[in-house]
Amino acid sequence: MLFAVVKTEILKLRRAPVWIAFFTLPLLASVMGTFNYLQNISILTKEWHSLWTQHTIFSSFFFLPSLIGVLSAYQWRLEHRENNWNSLMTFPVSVQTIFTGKLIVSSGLVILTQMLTGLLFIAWGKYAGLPGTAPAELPHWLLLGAFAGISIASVQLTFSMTIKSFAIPVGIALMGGIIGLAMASSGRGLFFPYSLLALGMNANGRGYLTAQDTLPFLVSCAVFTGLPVLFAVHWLKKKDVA
Amino acid sequence: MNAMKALKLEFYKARRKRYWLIAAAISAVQALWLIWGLRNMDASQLAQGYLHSLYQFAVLNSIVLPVMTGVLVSRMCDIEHKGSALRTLFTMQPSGSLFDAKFFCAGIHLAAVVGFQIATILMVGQIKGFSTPKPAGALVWYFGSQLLCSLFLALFLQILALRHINQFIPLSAGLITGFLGLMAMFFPEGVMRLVPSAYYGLLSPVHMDWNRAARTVSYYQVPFPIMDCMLLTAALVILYWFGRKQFMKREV
Repeated sequence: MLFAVVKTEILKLRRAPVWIAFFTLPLLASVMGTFNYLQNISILTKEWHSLWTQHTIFSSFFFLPSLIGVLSAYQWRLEHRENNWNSLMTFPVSVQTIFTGKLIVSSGLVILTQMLTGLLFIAWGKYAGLPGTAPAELPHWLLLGAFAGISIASVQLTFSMTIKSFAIPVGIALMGGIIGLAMASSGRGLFFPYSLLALGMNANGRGYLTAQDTLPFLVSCAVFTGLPVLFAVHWLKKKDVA
Repeated sequence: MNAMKALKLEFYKARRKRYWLIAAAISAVQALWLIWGLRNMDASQLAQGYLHSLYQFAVLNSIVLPVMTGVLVSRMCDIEHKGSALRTLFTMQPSGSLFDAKFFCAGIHLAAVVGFQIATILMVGQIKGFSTPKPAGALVWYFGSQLLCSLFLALFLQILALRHINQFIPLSAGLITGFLGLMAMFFPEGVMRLVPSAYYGLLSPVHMDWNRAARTVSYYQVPFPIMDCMLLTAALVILYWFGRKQFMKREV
């Protein structure tokens, strides 16, 4: 049943311009990040690591969380329109499956975005003439970033499910990103979902996370993914949608 | 319908939508950000307090205000799409007047946001004891320049939000504009002029100088960038004329 729900969710998105935005952002981030790196090569001396920060620092705090917010809002917008809530709740599908289906689709896009970020980073690194190969930690950063992105998607899907407005959850994601930067800078990033993306992706280039922090990071991602799911399922079971 | 009546009607529609709440929440986060950034200041930093705050807010505006404007404008226009209200409205109100009213309504909210930023700077300056006199001219210039840039973005996003029922488009445009604006600040001025949200930095009364050897940052006031200001104003007028005309021609 979950597979069928995921297929349906993908079907709902097939004519939406969501895909374009998700792939435009890493592309823009990589083009502008590389240009900035090449302009400031005398200051940015850590080669691949410096290029990585230029590609990821701004998008991981401010723009990717907001973009995940837009996607989540779009996924629920369809249900908030017309009488779709009533139809949705009468389908022989459990509420867990409905929410998880949407989360899986969001997660898929997050993972694809991370893969694209990695590929663009390697390509631009080669173009910039950086010596050797990309850092060995790159898959690790991308994977942790994907876990963090899924946590943000879970939180945003919950906001978008409970708030009818399309735009307000996007505003929440933006504020989350700003607060997330402050939380990460003050060393409390593990306690705030919107900081996790930059933490996991090592967006500051100096290593927000030590090797010992990986387990707490994964626990934090699990909590910020799991709690919204539990809340959403409870809400969907109790709330009268009519 | 006269313009004032149309504007009052926009605020009446908004009475339960609480647009002001979005503006207030973003302003509060920005203010907290500034206060957090100023928590440990020595004497030399206190002497640059006003200039530091003006610069910080201008950079933050280039990231935050395009998205916030997208959220605000999208909500204003989405109420007409949701209720399929345009058809009815056009029988009672000239379409141009509706376009203007929404634009002015957004403008008032944006003016309040920039005004709140100035109030925050003055308040923080008082509490922290910034050691230089208040730069009245720079504050007025800051208000005008940041508002001008915000109005341009509001107009651009309003045109998209009214044109497309799917509000994903104006919101994504706001996001991408914000991203481009921030990144463009690291590029030469010629590139910055091509990105609307980069004008938050271009028109800012304060610029920054980073001394790499001493690892110090200093802020300084710049001459009024009259050409950039005129360029953005001309773009605003052209976009307004184009957007309004397109909206008036629209078949609903």
